[in-house]
Amino acid sequence: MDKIDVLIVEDDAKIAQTHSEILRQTARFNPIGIAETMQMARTMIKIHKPNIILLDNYLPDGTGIDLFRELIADKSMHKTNVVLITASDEIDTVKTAMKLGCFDYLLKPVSYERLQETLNRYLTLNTAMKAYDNLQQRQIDELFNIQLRDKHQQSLPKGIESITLDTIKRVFSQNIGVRFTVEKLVLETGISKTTARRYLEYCSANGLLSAENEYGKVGRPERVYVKRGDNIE
Amino acid sequence: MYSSSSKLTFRLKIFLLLFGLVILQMSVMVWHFDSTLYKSIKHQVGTRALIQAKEIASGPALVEQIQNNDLSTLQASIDRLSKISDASFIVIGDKNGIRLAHPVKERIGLPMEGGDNAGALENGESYTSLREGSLGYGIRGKSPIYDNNHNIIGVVSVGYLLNRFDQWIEVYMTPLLIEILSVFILTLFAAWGFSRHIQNKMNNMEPEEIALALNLQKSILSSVYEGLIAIDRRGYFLNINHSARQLLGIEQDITYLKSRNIIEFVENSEIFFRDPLADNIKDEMFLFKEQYLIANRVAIFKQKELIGWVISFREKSDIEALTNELSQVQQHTDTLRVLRHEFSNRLATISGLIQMQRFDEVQQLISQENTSKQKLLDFIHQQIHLPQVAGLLLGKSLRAKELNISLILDPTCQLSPLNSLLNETELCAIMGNLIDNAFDAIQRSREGKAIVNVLITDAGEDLVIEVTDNGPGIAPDLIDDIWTKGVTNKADNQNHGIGLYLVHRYVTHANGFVIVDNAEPQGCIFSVFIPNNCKGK
Repeated sequence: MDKIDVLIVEDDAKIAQTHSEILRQTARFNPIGIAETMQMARTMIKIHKPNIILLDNYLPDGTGIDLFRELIADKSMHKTNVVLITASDEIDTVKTAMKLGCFDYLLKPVSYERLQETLNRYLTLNTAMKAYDNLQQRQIDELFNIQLRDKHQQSLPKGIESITLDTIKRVFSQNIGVRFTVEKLVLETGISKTTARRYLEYCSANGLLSAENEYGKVGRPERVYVKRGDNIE
Repeated sequence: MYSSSSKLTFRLKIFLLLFGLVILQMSVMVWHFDSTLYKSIKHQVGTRALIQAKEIASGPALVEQIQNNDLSTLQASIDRLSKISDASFIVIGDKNGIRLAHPVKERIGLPMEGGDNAGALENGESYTSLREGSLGYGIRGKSPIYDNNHNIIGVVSVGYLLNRFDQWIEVYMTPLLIEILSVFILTLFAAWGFSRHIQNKMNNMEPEEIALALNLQKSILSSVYEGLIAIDRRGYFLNINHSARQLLGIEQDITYLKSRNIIEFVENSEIFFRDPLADNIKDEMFLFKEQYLIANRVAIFKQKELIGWVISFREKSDIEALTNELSQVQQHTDTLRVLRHEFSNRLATISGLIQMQRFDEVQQLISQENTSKQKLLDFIHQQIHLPQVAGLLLGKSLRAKELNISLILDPTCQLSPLNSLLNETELCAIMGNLIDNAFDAIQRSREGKAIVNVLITDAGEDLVIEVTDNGPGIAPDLIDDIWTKGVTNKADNQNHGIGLYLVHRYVTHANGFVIVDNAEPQGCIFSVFIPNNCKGK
């Protein structure tokens, strides 16, 4: 199997060393070098063409996000996945980076588990990417969604508890064809309106219920949920 | 201020110019009149002198007296004639130019002076001449005297001295000079009054000052970031600056606009012409082409009479950005103080734990704060696949932390690229406004813990957004009105500004709808539903 080359851009030697060790623990990853400055990083990216860059935002001669911008802007540069590492009080940087589209964002101090998770995600995606040629970001996004939604169907997603879901399912099963608004469901079950909306949307997205928009009274539309015969039991 | 090289004020210059011009004209006129008068008098007097000279020369008595050399009789008859005539002198000379009769007796027998006898004595001509004689400078009529055989035997010279002229000219000129003097005085007053009038029209400013003011006005207009428009009472443009043109999308320049009315360019011109017309309007919002502008109106008066208004405006977001920035500086300072305090506490705890060799707890403590943020980051990154929306949610989460509000993203949040009439920016505007609105609502009543719940999901066919706050909620009678543009009057509708109006607009544009509901036990819920299954988009 190919080794995945990783460049570590980090000005603190100790932290860089730690990253490097974490990488070595996974057989697939190969830390090809440590760049301590932006200048060094530029050179090493050109020479080694790494697959992943662990990019610390704080560098002595600039910021990681600027380097990332350069990488995006420079068409001649080797396209590479960037994992941006920032201090926890630099969320604004992350906000900017999100718009640019980093592979992942890590907050300092980087925990061992979290970095492992990132690397594993890369491996999964990399495998999937091998399957299709020239995946675009949009398709990658969809790929992500497929994974997420697959997971949803296997087990209940976070925020959806089986007890509450069962309560709601029961209410609808007893009232087939009856149109429920959030208010009505709240009266029936005693859950909060916010929670009710979450479950109802979950159910309608998964075919358990049908959601319909009613424009009955002028200016006061409503969204109703109804269980019909063709919905999943 | 302006150059001190010209000490004369503009008014004085105008005055001197007008006055000088009139004086010059009058001088030319008087000179011309004077010289014409002089010429005409000279001609008349000359003719008179000549005729008299001819009459006297043709008298047979005179011829006889000369032939007989009867000087005393001659002198007597000439004296008699002199008394009748108004001439200054009558002189008779013989054929050699020797005086036979003269007003001054002593000069009889001496040659005539002036040297102008030749024409009469030698050629027998009659003429006038202007010469200096023994009696002074004068005009003379000369005529030869013939005997019966037609021989020239002498000359008659009738003369008028010039000092006589002056008397006549004086007689003619006096009324004229009086008239001229009165015209002169009138001109003085008129020039003074006119220059004052001009100066008043120019607001008592010198031309240099006016030029300066004009340049100043131009540069002020172009340098301010605000849009500025001046209109007259009917709404016609008086002036407009670059920013205003940009904000309102007007491309024509002011020379064209001067004949145009503001209502041709601004559909919502209510703020321009609101009663009472003379009142100033401060910091008011108005909608223009889907952007909100904050406008001020100041009335322009000209001596208590309203002549128009100046309207200044700028984008609402500009002002908001500024106020936000200011309030954030304050907040940053506070946050820093709190952080420093927390930090030293935490260091003390860590050092204590290390001394007690409870290393696992140290590890836990260090990663505690961090993991919650990392989790938020991971959650947004993994669930929200629209970078702008992800950034917005992240930003709002941080803002919430600063405001001490807990912003809870519903665990079922998820968002993929849109498949709707709505674009990402509009979605951001909707979310941002709803969340800001929730923050505002909560901050108005601080009771207990402030919580804002946000749900955004495109799992089903519709895009669903729900923002819930536990603020004071909305009075039932207001619920129907919050979407309408109740924004122009900020004071009594502070809670629902233009944000909600925009939300409503965007949502309706995308064929969706918004509903608002009260949450239990308190607060309100905004729910947005937008079709997200457009084919081919």
